[in-house]
Amino acid sequence: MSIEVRKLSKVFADGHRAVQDVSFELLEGEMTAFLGPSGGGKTTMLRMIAGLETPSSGEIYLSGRRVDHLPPQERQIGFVFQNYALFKHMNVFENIAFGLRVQRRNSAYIRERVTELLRRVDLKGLEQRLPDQLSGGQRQRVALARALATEPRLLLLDEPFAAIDAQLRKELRAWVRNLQKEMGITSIFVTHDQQEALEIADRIVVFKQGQVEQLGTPQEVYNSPQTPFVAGFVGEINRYQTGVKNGFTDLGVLKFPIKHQEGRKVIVVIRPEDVSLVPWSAQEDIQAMVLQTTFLGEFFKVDLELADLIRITAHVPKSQGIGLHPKDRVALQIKAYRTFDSSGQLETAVELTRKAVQGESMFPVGEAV
Amino acid sequence: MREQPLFRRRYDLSKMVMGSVVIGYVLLLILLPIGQLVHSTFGQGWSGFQRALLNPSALFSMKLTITLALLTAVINTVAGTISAYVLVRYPLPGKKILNAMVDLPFAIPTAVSGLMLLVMFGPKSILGGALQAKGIEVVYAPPGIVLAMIFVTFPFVIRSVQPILEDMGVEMIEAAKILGAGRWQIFFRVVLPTILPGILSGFTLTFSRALAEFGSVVMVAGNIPFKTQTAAVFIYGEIESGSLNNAGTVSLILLIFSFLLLFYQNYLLNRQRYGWWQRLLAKAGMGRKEKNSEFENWAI
Repeated sequence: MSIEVRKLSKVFADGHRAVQDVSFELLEGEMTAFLGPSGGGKTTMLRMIAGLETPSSGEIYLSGRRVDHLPPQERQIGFVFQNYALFKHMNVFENIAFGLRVQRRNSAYIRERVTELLRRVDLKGLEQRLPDQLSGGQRQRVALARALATEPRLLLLDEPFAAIDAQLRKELRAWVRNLQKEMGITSIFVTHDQQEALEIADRIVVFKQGQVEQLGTPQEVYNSPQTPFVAGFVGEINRYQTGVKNGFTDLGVLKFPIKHQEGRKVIVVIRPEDVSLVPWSAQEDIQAMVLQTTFLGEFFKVDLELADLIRITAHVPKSQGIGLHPKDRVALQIKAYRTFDSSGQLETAVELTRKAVQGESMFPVGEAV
Repeated sequence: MREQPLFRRRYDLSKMVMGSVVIGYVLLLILLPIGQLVHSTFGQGWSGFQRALLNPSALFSMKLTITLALLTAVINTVAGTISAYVLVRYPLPGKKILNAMVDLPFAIPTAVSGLMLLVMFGPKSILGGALQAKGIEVVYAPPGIVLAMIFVTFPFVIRSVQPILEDMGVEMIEAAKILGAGRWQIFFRVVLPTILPGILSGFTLTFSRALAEFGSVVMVAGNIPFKTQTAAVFIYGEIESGSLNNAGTVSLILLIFSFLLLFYQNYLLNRQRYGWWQRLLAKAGMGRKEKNSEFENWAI
């Protein structure tokens, strides 16, 4: 079911503006992540779609039908709570059957449907356990089966993996992702974990202070962040606040051309993986000294200091990182950078070609926005 | 490093001392008096016990007490559950004060409680006069006893249901809503089963406390044999008239009731996490039992 939200706002009784004037549209059959820091309004947004909170203003449409005035009972939604909210006094079977019993389905149908769901979520044989006797992962799967039992048209998940330990979390999210694809059910999940969002979402909505910062595919959000906040929240960045001098950023050796008024404030954002290190040579534009290297498994994180005390972090491959030590002198090449004006509007986004990276010249090739 | 074993030994010593004190205390204050009561009651042997037990006024007092205590427990369970629900779920003005006032019946001396009811429902008061005009007896009659029992035991059900309701939070209710359950379905299928252990526990406490009530009952209802004489009042009367045997016999019966209720109460508390009715349902409803499950160890 497609979802459309128009100018939705939520002001709580204590005056807190959780969601402010948010509009977006999500497509049928997709898995969307609401990503953002806590207090960003993403859970409130989800609860408004479910009908658990009443919007202060604005409209919500599910499959073109306006639903914001409907109680949660009439929205045909499945909801998985952060702490699962299983009925403690009911066994697994009864938990999953709850929605069907409320609908007064006949018992043969209920038995069949619950058995089918138990098979789907891989909990066969645990029908009679009470929630207290299940592990966190099992509880989560019961919650999922319960939400799916009434064949909702939209599945909402509130931080579904937050309470599960790291190893299991990875498995579960891949599993949830497969289940969602298999059933083709439109889904939204809330998370503050960018990795999770990048990994399993078709589309990401980045929230900040009750507003949507960016909506896009994981690739769009990661590769073309529209604000410095998105750049910093989805992935890591080097961030510099500086001015414009003679048509360039005023960052000493980090001199990037910029089409902007002299003296205006700008923000320059460079991803650590877009900084590559080459052997030191006097010809290179940007020379640096290694301050510290940190082994992070797949790569090394290298903290560097540039000529005029500007610091920058680079992610370099293992093979290269292993030979680096503090006080080593190296040269840098910046493969990509983005500049934003002081209000956070995107100014320039520059990707340099592979050729340039390999060291021939450093003129910008692809320039966007 | 040298401090640690020293500290541990001191701790062990304190454990021993505290343990002995507690055991001695329990022995002196609880077990010895009970033993002495049993010993004195059976001073005239089994037949003396039987005779005292079958004494009509003793029998009447026990029947009256149990009936009225049960009635009290039922009334307070309904009223207390609703009060707890309202106190937890609804944003009332002055809720904190209201919540603190719930405990008042525990704090007020029972004789004072009785006196309050007496002046309120007595023939000289407006309310009491009006009721009397309609031929409804309250004071020096069973309704007065029930009122006194209700007043004194009011906090029990509220205080055993309230924490469970608070602990329950709103998520289960929200989950039920999204699954399509209406107000009544949510109450009967979700809220009530969840708080049932608290309700039962409150019921038991109320019943056992009502059985034992003396001070307020004697104030409101006096000591009229075959009318308002409850078991506790009967015991007092028998001691006044020097019949230790009768008093001891009824005391023992009350004591046995208390033990049974206490036992049941502990049983409930132990089972509260899973709920016996749920296990019964699971057993009856689903047929095949799950191997390796903890159900195996839960035979009731």
